Amino acid sequence: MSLKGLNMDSFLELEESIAGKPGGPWVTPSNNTQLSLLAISLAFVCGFFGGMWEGFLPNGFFELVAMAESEGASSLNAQIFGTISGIVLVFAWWVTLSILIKWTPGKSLSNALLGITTAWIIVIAVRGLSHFVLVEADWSVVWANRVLLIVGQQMTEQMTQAPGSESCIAVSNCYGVNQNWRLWWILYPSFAVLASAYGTIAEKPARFLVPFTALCGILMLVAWMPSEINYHSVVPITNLSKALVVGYLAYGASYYYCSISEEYKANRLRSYIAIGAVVTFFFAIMIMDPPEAVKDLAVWLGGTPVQGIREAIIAGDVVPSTLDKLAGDGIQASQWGGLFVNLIVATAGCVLGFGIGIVLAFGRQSDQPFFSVPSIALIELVRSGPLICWLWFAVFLMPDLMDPFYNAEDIIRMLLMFGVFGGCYIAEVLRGGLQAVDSGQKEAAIALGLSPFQTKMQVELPNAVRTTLPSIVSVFIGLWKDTTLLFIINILDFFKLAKDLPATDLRFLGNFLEPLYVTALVFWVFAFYLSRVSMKIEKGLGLTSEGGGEAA
Amino acid sequence: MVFEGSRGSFVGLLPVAHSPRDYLRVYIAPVLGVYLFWLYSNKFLGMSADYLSTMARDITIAGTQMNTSYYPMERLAPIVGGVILLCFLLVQNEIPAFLKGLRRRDPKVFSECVSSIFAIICFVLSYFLLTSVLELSPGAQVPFFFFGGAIVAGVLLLQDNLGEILSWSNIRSFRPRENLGALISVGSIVLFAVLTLNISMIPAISQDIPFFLSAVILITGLYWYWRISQEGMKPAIQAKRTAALAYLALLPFILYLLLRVLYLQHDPNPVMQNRWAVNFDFMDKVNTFKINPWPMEVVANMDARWLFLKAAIINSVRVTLLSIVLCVILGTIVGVTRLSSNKLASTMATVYVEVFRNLPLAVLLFLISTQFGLQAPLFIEETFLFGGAVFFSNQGIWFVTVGSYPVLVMGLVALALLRAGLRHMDRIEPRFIVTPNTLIEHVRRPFSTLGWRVEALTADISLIVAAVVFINYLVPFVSTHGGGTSAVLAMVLLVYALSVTSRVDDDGINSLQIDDSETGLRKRFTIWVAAFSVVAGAVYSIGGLSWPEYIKDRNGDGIIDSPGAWDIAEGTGFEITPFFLAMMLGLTLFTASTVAEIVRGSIQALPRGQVEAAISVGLNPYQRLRLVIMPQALRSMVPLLNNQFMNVWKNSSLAVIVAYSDIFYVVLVMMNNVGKLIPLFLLLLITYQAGSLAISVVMNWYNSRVTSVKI
Repeated sequence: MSLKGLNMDSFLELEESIAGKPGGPWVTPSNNTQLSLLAISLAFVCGFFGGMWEGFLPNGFFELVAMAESEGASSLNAQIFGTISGIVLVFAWWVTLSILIKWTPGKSLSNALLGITTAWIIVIAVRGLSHFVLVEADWSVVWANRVLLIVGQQMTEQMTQAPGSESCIAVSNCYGVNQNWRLWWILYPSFAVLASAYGTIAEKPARFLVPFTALCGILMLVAWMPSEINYHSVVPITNLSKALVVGYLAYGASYYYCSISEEYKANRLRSYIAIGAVVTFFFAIMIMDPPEAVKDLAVWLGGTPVQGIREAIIAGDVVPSTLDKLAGDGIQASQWGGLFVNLIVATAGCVLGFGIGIVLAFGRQSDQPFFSVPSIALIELVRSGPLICWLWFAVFLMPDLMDPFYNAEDIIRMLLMFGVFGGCYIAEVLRGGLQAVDSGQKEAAIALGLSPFQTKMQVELPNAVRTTLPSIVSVFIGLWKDTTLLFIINILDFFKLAKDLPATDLRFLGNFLEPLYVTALVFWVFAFYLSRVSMKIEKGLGLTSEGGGEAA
Repeated sequence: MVFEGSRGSFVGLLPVAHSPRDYLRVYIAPVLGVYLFWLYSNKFLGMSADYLSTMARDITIAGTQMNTSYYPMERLAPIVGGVILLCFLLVQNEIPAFLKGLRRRDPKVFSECVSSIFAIICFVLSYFLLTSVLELSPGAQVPFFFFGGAIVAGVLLLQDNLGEILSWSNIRSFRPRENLGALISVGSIVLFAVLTLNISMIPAISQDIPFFLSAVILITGLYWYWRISQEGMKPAIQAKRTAALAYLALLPFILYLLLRVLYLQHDPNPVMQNRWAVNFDFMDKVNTFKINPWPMEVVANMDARWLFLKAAIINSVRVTLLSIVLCVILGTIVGVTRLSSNKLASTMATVYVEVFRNLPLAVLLFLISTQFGLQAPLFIEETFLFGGAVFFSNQGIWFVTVGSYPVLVMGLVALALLRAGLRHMDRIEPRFIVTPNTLIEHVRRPFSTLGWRVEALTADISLIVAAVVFINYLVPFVSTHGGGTSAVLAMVLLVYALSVTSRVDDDGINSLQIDDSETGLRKRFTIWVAAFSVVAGAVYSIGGLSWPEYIKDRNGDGIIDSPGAWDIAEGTGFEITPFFLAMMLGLTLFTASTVAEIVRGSIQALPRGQVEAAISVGLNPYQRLRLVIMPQALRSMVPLLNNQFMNVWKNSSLAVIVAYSDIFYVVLVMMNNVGKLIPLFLLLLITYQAGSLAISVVMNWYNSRVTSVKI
């Protein structure tokens, strides 16, 4: 009875916080519980049977399912839609009925009003959204183009026109060589770095392993979904499971190492992991478009470029080895597309931006005008214009300056511009952090005989970064969201490909909204994850403080 | 000289390496660094030399200049020499002391800053030499002169003994063996002069000037890098020598940038020259594409580009201002709701903040405009909401509005006068009265002679009058092509009136005794509600309302036009275009989430004791918010809100996504039309910077008002 009593008490507390204190004179502590149960049962009734008598009361569960099926949704979708809408509807009815039955406006009017307004806003929002997602929308446009959205047009074309693909059944029609192996080669080190980074945090293993497995599971599910599939789902699923195993091993190794060694060794491991992340970034760029030296090395080691033996591969006589694949042509930067471009540009902005930001921050606070004047000028100049302005500069004006010594592709210039832009914002953030470093630290370092460079790198910078890490992460989140601006300069990133799908994919002309919602969801997921990381860092560093917060 | 090393004479000189990491750091990295620097220096100096030679070559045939990239030496020498001089003065860092000494009229400053003065004299001298006396060959002598001069400047900075050399006493007591440094400095200048004049006789140098100069930079740089790492100098001198070393290392890059930009402005390729030449004449010509601005009308193919730019700026400013106002309101509501005790409301507010803070603005804008375009009813479906007050279609939304705007302004003036009157009635004698003495103080408090009671009232009324005058002159400025001067004068008047009222506040004249009790609040509430209703009624009855009028028959001949010609009558109702709506909704929703976080953070940062004390004293929630929480929370909020407002201004550039004619969109199309990229890019940067500065100025003024009481 006590457990049930506990549940009942917390339930009544929840009800009071949402609907307000009971104000009607007929409510006594003894019949409080019964009134709540009455409200709940009435809410269930309204939620299930609403709308069934000529539109009396908003539509309940059964009406909604019937409506959805009449609009053409599959029966499963209609049931799910009905369930979701039904749940929020029952909830809103419960809030309304509690307020009415117990007459809470008598005692806490504002609370009751807030409760009713919010509950019905939730109903409208959730019902509208689930109606769109489950009943109105036809998601096959997204399923059919999922590879395109992730890797861009060139790689999709190479993949779908490679032998073994369903698109070129007659071998004579195939002309492509599948380049997707490059992605898996990028995926393994990325997962390894991510998992080992989490391993250095001394938390319970389940707190990382469960979400990590869930994430891989979702990715495998997305890869497996048979609706409108244009590739062999076995390949990504095997590679994802291999990457999952690599992640487990990396996590286990770094967790074990950190648990048996001292703090300074764990810190050294963390710095190695950070270096590993930067190396993975450059490795990713190199693997997608290997420089001539790497290709020549592979040829010298015995491989034949795949472009040369393409006919043999297509005919099925030769299976290209790793060296053959490495010796072949890569995907030029101008042909990169999809989510990959967004990730690479955002990472470049963060990595390069962090480096440039450190240089500019130290330059700005230097007492030598030769360093401080150009730093201040550059920071103020770059921060005065919106990013879109500078991206446009990078596409049209920067080539005039840069072409004589480095004829770069558009995307490489975008990387540099994002790096400079992120660097100026990080420099501003770091400036505050550097000013907050205790001058005693610097003086002690000088007294110990550290050179100015060593003082900056070993004493001032770690202190400043520790203090301002949440702001730096928020700059990173901003850079990630700003990669959506690449579409204005006609770089085929995720957003541009998604938004042009209704116009370019002839099977799905007119499905405007579905790709946009998927784009919003994908970008939102990454940004939300980064903001959670930032909050965890803040808590871990002890920088948050909770003060008085009860306002009207 | 004998080197005592425990491992032999030469091996003892090499740095010690124990582990592979040390080998990397001590052997491989320096060799790699030197190699890369050699490549970089050669390449950049080579390119710079090419550009400089091309620009200095004077190919005049029959009176016309055949070399399009030609710069006369009168222009080339000051620009290139000026940049080198600027770098020298920056590294030498004597100019601030020089100016301070000049202000104090200290004659010793000349002997202290002799290096900078020497550099300036060298610059002027070389200008005269180059333009009048010497005729340097553009192929070899001109690049050698400028680049060699820059390197000599670097060497002199590193030697850091110009001050000693140029003092009269040292010149007299010069002994070569002891003053090796002075010998090197003077010797480098002499060697440079000799080489420049005779470079054609040394083909080894003149054939490959970048090679020779890179070798000089490398040797000097390596030697001084070693010297600086010995750390045998005072920290100040060490820092200065590091800056000089950085100057020498960056010299190829600086010269390349400068010469490349100069070359591009006179590029033989006319497209490039068009892009880079800074020339604003094309802005006076007629613009060839149309935009949809409001309220100023600009006609394509008739109005100049400057007017189109003005219309675009007005567009950007109005969407920014409206979004700022709305996002502050929405953000405060959501932020305060997040802290409420109603769990449902606070969860909803948290969900709102988390959803919109992590959405990219570009995706949000595109989503809103597409969704609106798909879901809003068609124009011909005649969807009137709220009984004809709102006409809702996918071509725009028309609202009912007041019939006569001047009547509305008069109503607002009446309300402002009511507020001034109420404040006047609440005024009590101040504890101290500051009387103005000097002329400037009299200007800042013009009404001080009227006595304390009337002065504050007059200041308030003057502010109202100034605001009305400003509105009166602002409206023609934003609706017509001219009106700039009178608008600026009216704004100056308004700023003056604002400064008068704040000075009256600061000098303590504005001592109010406000009744903040429950009865007082209720009384004030009723007065204001009554006033609002009276004014609203008066405005409605005098001016009337302007309902959106749907016309199906435009020429009034009784025949209904085809559905494509149906329209809302001009001048009825107030139109909001779908572009403006999408822009405003997107900006507001996106920024409000960040403002909500700022508000919540500021309120949560208050000491808990303040709120508990307010509750224990017996204040109701509204009084708590207004009297205790908000004044303190505003102090920390205002600088953060300043940043957010500047972000709104810069984010308004995303209007190109929804085809709203803002500054960036208009300038982008102009760039595509005329190809004058650099002038338009400069205009863009200047406009955005001016807007950010304006927002900063206003927010800093407000910050000083809010933090005027020291806590």
